Amino acid sequence: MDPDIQQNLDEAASVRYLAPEDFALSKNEGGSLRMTLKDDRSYLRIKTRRIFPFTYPTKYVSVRDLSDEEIGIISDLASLSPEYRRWIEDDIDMRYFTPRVKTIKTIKRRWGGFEWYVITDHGAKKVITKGVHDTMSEVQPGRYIITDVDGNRYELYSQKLDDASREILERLV
Amino acid sequence: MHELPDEIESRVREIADGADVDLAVESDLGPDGLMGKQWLVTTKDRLYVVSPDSGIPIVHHDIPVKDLNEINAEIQVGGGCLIANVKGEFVPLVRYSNAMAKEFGYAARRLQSVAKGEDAPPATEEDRTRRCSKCNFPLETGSDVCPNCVDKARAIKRLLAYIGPYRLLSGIAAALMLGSQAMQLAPPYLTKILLDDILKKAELHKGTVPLDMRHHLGFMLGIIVLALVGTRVVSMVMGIFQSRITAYLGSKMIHDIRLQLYASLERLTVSYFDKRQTGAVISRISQDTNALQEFLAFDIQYMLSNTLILVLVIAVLFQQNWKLAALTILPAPFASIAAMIIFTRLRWVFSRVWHRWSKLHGVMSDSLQGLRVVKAFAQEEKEVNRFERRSEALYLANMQAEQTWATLLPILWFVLTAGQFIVWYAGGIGVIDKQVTVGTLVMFLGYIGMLYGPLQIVTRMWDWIGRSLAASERVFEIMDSQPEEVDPEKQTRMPNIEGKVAFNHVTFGYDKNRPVLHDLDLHVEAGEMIGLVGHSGAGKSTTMNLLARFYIAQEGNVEIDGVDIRDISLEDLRRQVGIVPQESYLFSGTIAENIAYSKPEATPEEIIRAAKAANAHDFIVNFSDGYETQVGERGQSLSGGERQRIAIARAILHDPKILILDEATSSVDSGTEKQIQEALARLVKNRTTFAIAHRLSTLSHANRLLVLEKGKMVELGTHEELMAKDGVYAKLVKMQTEIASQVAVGG
Repeated sequence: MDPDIQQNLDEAASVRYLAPEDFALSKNEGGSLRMTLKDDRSYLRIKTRRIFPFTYPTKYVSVRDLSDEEIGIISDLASLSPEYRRWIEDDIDMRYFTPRVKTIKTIKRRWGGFEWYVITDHGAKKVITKGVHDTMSEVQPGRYIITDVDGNRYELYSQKLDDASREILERLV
Repeated sequence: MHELPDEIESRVREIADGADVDLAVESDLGPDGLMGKQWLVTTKDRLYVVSPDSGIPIVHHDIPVKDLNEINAEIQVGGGCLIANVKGEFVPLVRYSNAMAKEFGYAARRLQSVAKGEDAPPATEEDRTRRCSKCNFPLETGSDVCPNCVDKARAIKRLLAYIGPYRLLSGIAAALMLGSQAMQLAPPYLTKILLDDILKKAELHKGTVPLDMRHHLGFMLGIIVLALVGTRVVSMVMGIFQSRITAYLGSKMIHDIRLQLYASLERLTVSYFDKRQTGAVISRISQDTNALQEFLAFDIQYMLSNTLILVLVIAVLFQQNWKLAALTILPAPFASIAAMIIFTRLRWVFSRVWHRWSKLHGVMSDSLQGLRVVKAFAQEEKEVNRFERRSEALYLANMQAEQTWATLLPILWFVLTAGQFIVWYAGGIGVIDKQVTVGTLVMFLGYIGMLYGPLQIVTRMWDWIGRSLAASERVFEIMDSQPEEVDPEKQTRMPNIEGKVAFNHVTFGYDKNRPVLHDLDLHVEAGEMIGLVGHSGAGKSTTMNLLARFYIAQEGNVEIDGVDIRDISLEDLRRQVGIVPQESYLFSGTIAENIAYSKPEATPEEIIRAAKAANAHDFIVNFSDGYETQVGERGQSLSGGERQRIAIARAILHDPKILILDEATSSVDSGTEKQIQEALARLVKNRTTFAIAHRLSTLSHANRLLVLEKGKMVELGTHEELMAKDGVYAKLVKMQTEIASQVAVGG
């Protein structure tokens, strides 16, 4: 193989993993995170994304700059200092608005879908969804992501619901 | 944009020294990120974020608009955040859930303009999620029907309008039905006469009946039995005719609806189909129209006839003996309530079965369609396990549904028929007390038997109507969707366009808040060939979609010969703008039909000439059926190169003035490649051509190259100019030559 091409491919496929000692973080008043790479440049505002949001919610966090280029991946948040970890987790939390359903009070059938009256970890909410098939996806056994008519997402673990709520859910799926 | 509560407005006025509120947008999340409320409020020169509090509203941000370097509505997962760059610092201002994304997207655009000193863009309909005023359900753009709160009466009226043209036949069918149902009322009454007037008289004569009386009674008996047979036969014949008419009416009416629906579908814009799965649209046509057929043809009749018989039976019962009648229908209200509860319960369990069925279907169609992949990676067992899990879930749901059905239905039946026992007892006492004849009692029991079926149906009626209306709403929604926006008044006929094309500062996004093309400005002379170059996602296909008028630019416009394409008659436009798509789609039919798709009246000579020019003639002739070889689904399978050349032949025959060429990515051998290149060279001659090429070598004929990157034009010029510039294009060329030489050597 042409060494140039080989190098190109390797370059294209290489992923930068950010070890804790590779970077420093700071947080401004508004709450946006700034990352300075060791012996390199500084990014005014970083964006974080979970790469495996369901299986590894606290691992494999992609750190991106404002134009959405990847700066690197943090393999495990546990390896960071408690402060950095909290900052990163706060940033992730801010970027993922996915309230978790704790209690289902009732589910009403309505034309073209359902009305859920639920209590989430973000407060009580009336959620309107279309038919079950399009709106509930079972991302892991017993774990659902529910998408409402506005495109908002709610998370639901059937195992963690109280009995009454689970019974209501089981009438549906 | 939103109505601002008084206390927040007065608070803002207070801190803003009485300045007027310019824009107010409500977020559905509080400052803590929990469900709640807060407001983005702007005045002429300041921006505030305020949240209500038990006392005085709290002001979280107070920023002069002129300090905004940048303000964006950042799209996040399940929501978004309005982020401002204030003097170099990024400040997240307001978080909101997806429900408010459009509104904040607009707010960001507006503030951005104001900060730059430009005029604030007015809010359009698309900048707001329109919601049903009754239930807050978001409405689709261009649709005012809320599927939940649809005016049922209106939908029924519209549905019944389909019966309109068949008024006479429907009337006849209804009359026949009425007759046939009325006939059914006769047997119990005749039974009464039989018992009370004939058999009883015979019984009164202890021992032998006198001969003349025997003759008389025998004669009467004969008449009654004949009448019984007669009513049955007449009722049957009427029923047969009624059903035959109904069958015709139902099938014909649904044909009308299906046709109208399909015609509306074909007129809809491409963007309508972007948002929907084709499968879902097809199932809507077939399933929902079927549901409507059932409703128009059978359910309506069934409901009417059962309601009718219910009324008639009750009337007869009351006329015969009102006391007994009252006792008979005593359990009816309870039965209705029980029926409603039971059918609601059954609906839940059966819809769960349906849901699990469709999941099982999903697994099946997935692994069967991808069978080659499954086998190639030896994952048969995993697929079977997946299937087993779904199938088991289905069996459990199914079992529960059947068991519920088996348990609840007999109970319902018991409640429903409980009146019978009351009648047996009360009627029996009446007979003993000689107040009621045996015949009346038997007749009553006969009528009661006829009562329960209709009663059960009447209780389910609303459920049926509800379901059919839901189906009709979905069907009507498609019919009512905006077709390609055509303003016949403004349509300029342009039968002979020259081919000059201009993109004037075009900005466009499939979703308005996420533009994929930014300020594209390009002027092309007639007959020129422009090559579009860029990475995937750079906006090449989008540019072409705008030229074909599949979509309309949000800012700026596209002109042909100096006329805005929105104003060109669609017929003329489509006839003179040809597209050779990346995936050459062949319809089921012969090769000749496929080549002549845009010009069905083409002569065989014309078709052959086009095929010849496209270097397709020789391979077509070699098929045993020549130009009449069946292709498309279940037809002769063609290679990628062959399909491509048929598509080129189609375009040559179409003879457009402006040609859009989207080069296929599938690689073909070098011989075929050469033939295709030749065919293309003939095709583009004397036409304004836009070519999207993935292999830059194929753009050697292009007069100019347009290089796009992330939706922006980064370079424009001839091959030589761009190579000399040593920019993005030069880099792409270098990369491709390297890969090409690599392939050539390594092979």
